[in-house]
Amino acid sequence: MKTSTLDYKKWLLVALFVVPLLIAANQIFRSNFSDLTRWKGGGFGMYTEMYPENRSVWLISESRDTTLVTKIYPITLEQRGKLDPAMREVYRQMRPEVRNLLHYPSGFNYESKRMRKIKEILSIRHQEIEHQLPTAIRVEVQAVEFSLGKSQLESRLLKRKEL
Amino acid sequence: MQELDLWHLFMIYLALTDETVAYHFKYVICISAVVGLTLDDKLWQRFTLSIYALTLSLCLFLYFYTAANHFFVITYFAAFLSLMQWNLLKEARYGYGLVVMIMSLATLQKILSPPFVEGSFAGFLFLSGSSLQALNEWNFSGFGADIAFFNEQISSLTSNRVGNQTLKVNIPAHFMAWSLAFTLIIALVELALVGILIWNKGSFRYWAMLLFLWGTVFFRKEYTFFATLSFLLVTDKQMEDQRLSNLFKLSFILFLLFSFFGVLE
Repeated sequence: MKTSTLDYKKWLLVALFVVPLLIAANQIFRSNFSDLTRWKGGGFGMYTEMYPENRSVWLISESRDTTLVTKIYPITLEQRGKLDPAMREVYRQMRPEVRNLLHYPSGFNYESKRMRKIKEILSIRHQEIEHQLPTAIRVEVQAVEFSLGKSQLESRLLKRKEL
Repeated sequence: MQELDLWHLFMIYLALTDETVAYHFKYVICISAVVGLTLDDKLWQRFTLSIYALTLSLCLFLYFYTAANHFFVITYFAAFLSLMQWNLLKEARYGYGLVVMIMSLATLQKILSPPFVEGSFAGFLFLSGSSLQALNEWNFSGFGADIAFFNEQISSLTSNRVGNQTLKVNIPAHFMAWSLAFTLIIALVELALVGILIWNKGSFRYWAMLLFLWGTVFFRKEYTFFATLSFLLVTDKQMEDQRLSNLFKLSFILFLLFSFFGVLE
C-alpha cells in the first residue's frame, strides 16, 4: 500500500516535467512545419526570428471588378480614427483576436461566431459602396523577413483564407 | 522573507500587469494573494495556491498562442507549488529542473532556427536599433547602420499590401562579421551555461546564472522572464549559501521593479 502512494507521487512529478516538454515539442513542430511564430506557444524560442509584430493583417472584399482593402494590423490611432463606421466595428470585433491570428494564422478559427459577424458587416459595407454583392471576402496575413546573406527585406504572403 | 510570500507578491504583480490574466481572473488572483499573505495557515495556503494553479492554467488554455513564454513557466510552477502543499508530490528540485529545461530548449530552438543561425536575426536587431545602439552611435569599426532608413523600409512593407516583394538593404562593410560573431557568442554562452547547470555541483552554477541574467539585461529588457528565473532559483534547496539566495531574491525584486517602471528602456 505504501509503495503505491509513493509511486503516485513520483508519477505526478514526472508529469510536471513531461507536460512542459510535450507543449514545447508541439511548439517546435508547429513553428518549423507551419506558420506559428517561434516567439509564442511555450517552446522558449524567443529571439530566434523576426518579431511577430512585423506581420500585417488585411481584410479584403472583392466583387467582379472592384476590390476593397482595409488594414487591421498594425494600425495607428490616427488611422483608426479615419476608418468608416463599419470598419471601425470590424476593428472592434477583431481586436481581441488579432494577436492569435498574427502569431498562428493556420491555427486560427476562421469559422467562429465573431468572424461570421465580421463577414456579414464586410458584405453589407461592400454592397453599400459598390452597389453589388462581394464575390469573395478574405483575410490575408503578410510577413516581413530579413535576410543578411542576400541583404534584403522580403515580404511574403503567409496566409490567405476565404471567410 | 519566505519564498511563499514572494510568490504571493509575484502573483499580484502578474495579475495587475499581464494581459494574459483575463479580466475577472485578475480579481480572483489578487484576493487570493491578499488572503495568502495575511492568513499564514496551512489550509489557507493550500487553498490560495490551488486557486493560482487553476486560474493560471485556465488563462493559459484561453490564450495559448498569445501568452508569453514566462507565463507558461509560472503556470507550471504554480501547479508544482499547489500539489506540494497538498502533499501530492515527491520532494524535488522542480525550480532548478525547470531552469535547466528552459535554457536547454532556448538553446535548441536557436540552433534550429535558420534566421538565427544565418545571423539575420542579430543583423536585424542591430540594423533596427533595438540592440547595442551605442555601437552605432560611435560608428564602431565601420558599424554605422542607417537605423531610420531600415525601419522606414520595414514599415513600408508592413503598412502596404505588397504581397510577395523584396527590398534591397544597404549593409555596412563589417556588418556581416559583427552579426555572425554576435550570433556565435550567444549560442556559445547559452551552450556553456546549459553545460554548467547540468554538470557543476557547487555554487559556481548559481554565480554563472546570476551573471547571465544581469549580463543579458544590457541587450534585452525581458525583465519578467528574468524575475521568473530568479524566483525558480530562490526556491532551490541545494543553494546553501545564504548570500547567494539573498542575491537572487534581490534580483527578483529588482527585475519586477524594472519591469514595472520600464527602467533602462
